Amino acid sequence: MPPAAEQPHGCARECSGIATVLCSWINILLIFVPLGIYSHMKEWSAAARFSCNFVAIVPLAAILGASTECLAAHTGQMIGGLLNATFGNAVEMIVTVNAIKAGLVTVVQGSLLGSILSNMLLVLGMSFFAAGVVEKESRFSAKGASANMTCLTLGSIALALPTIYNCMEDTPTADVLSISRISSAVIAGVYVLFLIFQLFTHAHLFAAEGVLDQDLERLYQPKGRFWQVSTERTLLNFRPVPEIVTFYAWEVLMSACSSILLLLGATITVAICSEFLVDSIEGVTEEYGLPGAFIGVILLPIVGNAAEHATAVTVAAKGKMDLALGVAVGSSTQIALLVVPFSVIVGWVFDVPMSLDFRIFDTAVMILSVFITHTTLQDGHSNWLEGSILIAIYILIAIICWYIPDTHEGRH
Amino acid sequence: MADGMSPFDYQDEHSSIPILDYWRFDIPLRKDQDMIYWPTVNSMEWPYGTKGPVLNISQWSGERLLPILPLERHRAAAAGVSAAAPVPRGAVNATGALLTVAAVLGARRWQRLRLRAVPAQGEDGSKGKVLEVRAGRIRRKPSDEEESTQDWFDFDRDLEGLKTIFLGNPLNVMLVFTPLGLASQSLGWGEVATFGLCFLAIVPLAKLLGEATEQLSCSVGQTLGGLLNATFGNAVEMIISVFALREGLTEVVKGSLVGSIISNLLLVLGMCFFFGGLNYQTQRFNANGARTQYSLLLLAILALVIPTVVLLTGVRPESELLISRGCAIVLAVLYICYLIFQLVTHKDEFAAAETEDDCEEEAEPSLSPGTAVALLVAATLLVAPLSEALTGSVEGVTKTLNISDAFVGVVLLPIVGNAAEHLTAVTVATKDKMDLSLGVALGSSTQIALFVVPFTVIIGWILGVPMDLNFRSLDVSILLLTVLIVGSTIVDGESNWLEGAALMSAYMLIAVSLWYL
Repeated sequence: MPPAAEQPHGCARECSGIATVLCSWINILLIFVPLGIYSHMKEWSAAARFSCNFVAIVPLAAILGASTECLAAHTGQMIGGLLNATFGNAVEMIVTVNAIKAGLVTVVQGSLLGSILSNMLLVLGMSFFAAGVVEKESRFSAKGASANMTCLTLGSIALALPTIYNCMEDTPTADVLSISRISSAVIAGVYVLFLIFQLFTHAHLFAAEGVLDQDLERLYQPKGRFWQVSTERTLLNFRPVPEIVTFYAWEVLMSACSSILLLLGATITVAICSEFLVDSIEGVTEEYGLPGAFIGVILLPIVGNAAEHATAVTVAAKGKMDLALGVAVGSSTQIALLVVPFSVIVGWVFDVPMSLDFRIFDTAVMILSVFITHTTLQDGHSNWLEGSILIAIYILIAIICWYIPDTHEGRH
Repeated sequence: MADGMSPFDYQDEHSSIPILDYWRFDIPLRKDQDMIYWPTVNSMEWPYGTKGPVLNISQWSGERLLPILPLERHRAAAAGVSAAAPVPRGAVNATGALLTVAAVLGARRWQRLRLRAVPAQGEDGSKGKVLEVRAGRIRRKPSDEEESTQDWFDFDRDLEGLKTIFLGNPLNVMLVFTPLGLASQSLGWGEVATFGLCFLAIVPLAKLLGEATEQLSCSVGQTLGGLLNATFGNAVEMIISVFALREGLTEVVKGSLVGSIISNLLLVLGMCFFFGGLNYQTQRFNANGARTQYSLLLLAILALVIPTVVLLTGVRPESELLISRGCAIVLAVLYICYLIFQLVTHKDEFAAAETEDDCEEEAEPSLSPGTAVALLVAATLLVAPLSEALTGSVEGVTKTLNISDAFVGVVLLPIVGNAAEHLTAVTVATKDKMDLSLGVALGSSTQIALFVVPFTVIIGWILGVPMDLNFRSLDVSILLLTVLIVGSTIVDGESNWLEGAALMSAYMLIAVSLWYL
């Protein structure tokens, strides 16, 4: 890194920053991107399509990760992770609209649930594990994670109620739809409130990077009360407060705008490649006859989410636990509170019976996963064992999904 | 010794010594190289709405720090130089305090002094108006040496008290619905009208019941008062359930029990967190006390859920009532243990809620015990026929307005019994007394689960009505989910507005499901 006085400014800085991100050795693999698109258009064999697109995703994931880190240096870690997740979920929302128009309600439900679970258990678990391998104990902002988990609990309540309602005798199915639609509106409203919470009123909870919560509150004492904390007192009684704004090497690399543009470009490209990857998977599984629930709930979300997954794990290994949390938990909150209600409302618009009535198994799995993740995230520390526990729970769910018998509904 | 302002820059905020918590404050010592400074306080204020008095610093005295000596020699040195003893006595009058504090010098940087005010003979010989400051705790009211005598009736005070209670609360306007509600049943104005009028009439009566109980518990003492509060706090709900059982509406009673629990946990707590969080960034409460209450609540709800689950397996359906009655007895015993826990053995865990009790803040209760009892009896006598009319009209309402039975039982009826407490809890939360609101919400739901439920089963047993603890699977899962989301919000000891919004939305989701049931 050149010292501050010698760094270029303005347009030159942006260009040099983008060049730094793009010109690394791994980006040689970017030639597989057009190759993957070509393979889809020319309909090569499933295995060939799968490998081309898979290799294409690798450098894209690296670019995604780098642009997220640049953005996070400007907006704060958790918000940066959230923006990463948002772009990814925006793509997923578009895909969901298509699926709902085609009337594939069970498929959509399965894939949404699978995304929530994979983000909350697999990605988070692997991030904890990776961070734990590097450092003994990683810290993150417990309050920010806790706010996310409260919203996820609310989301699981919203899923549970129509499901149980449907299980009771003499309850008409039309009512389940109405309940689902009204609940979706409520849940989407809560997500808007959560955004206001995260970006405006309590932004400091999400901007701090692993600072101990008691230091945090010391700095953000409400003013105008008699609990003024003078600086001498802080120094006398408590240990020195670590610097809130840590200098990151990425910070001077690009402005927020260019990182957003780079992120957007990378996301769109990843979306295209993921789409082709998912198509090729179906070819592979039709040959081998994998169970439908397993494909829908486990395999497709992992494959579709691979780039974000890689991002979260790499930044966790670098010690930026809040960023990994923002990607993983922020993404699951967003899916549960925004994408799921969005799909129900899209179903309302197109008159498709998309409801919040997931099966009992799905609902129970969701509630239990939320419970255990909340327990893990509560104390603000993580280690590799917690990570491996979360991964193990995901594997248990995957095993059960393998044995669920196929229903006779069509897949895409 | 150097006198005058300390060498440090002090802006306005630093010229007063704030309260740490409740009645303790640190006398700040300032150290500058080899000089140590301590403040002289010349006045004491208690701004409205704050936790306690604030001492205003008038000047700083300083002294050169002596090399490390044993404590006594420092004291002797200080004694020779400044006031007579490290903890001096001085006469203080209520509006201004003359007080010189000599800190104990030495290796410690902070010295905590507790100052207590006792009545002293003022210059004009008046007692009780002048407060003397000694080491100890400052009390706002005169000390215990002067006990006011307690009569059963005291007409002047009572008149004042009754005026405040009746005219001070805008809710009492709704008392006008009481005769209307009573009349509508006998005049046959239709079931919906009866329901609505009785609904509106019971709300202010519940508030009056609560006030009377509070005043009575102030006069009678902490323990007995707590017991009274615990028993009569849910009086309206108990009366409503008795009348509903007499009509044979067991499902409505079960629904209203579940509804009371979830409305306390989700609606009341959610509104407290939300409206409190609009004023304050984060609000703290005593996490230990909250966790204790929460684990008791969890236990109680498990005790409610177990009969349902057992009966779901369909093992021995004929012993359904027997299982429920056995569980009810166990819950009643657990309730007695809970009372002993809260009022006798572990008083201090709940102390944060109790010091903020209304009793402490006022000098004395505004109603004498006799009047409070009379008010209590009068309110109960009015509530009884109104609840009878209310429960009698439930069936007609559900048929006419086409609302589901479950919605009336779980959402509407609990609001009636709970409205007054609800308002109190929210108002108190906006004043940053979150411990008190939590005590109201959590404590109330625990009491319903542990006391009102067995009470209804036993009353059903007496009346020969088959009231059991077999809730629907929907109710059971609602209870468990509620406990889950409430636990996630209170376990960290802090609250913000988003948690309140989440709890309220959970209640809305449940209400939506029940509307369509």
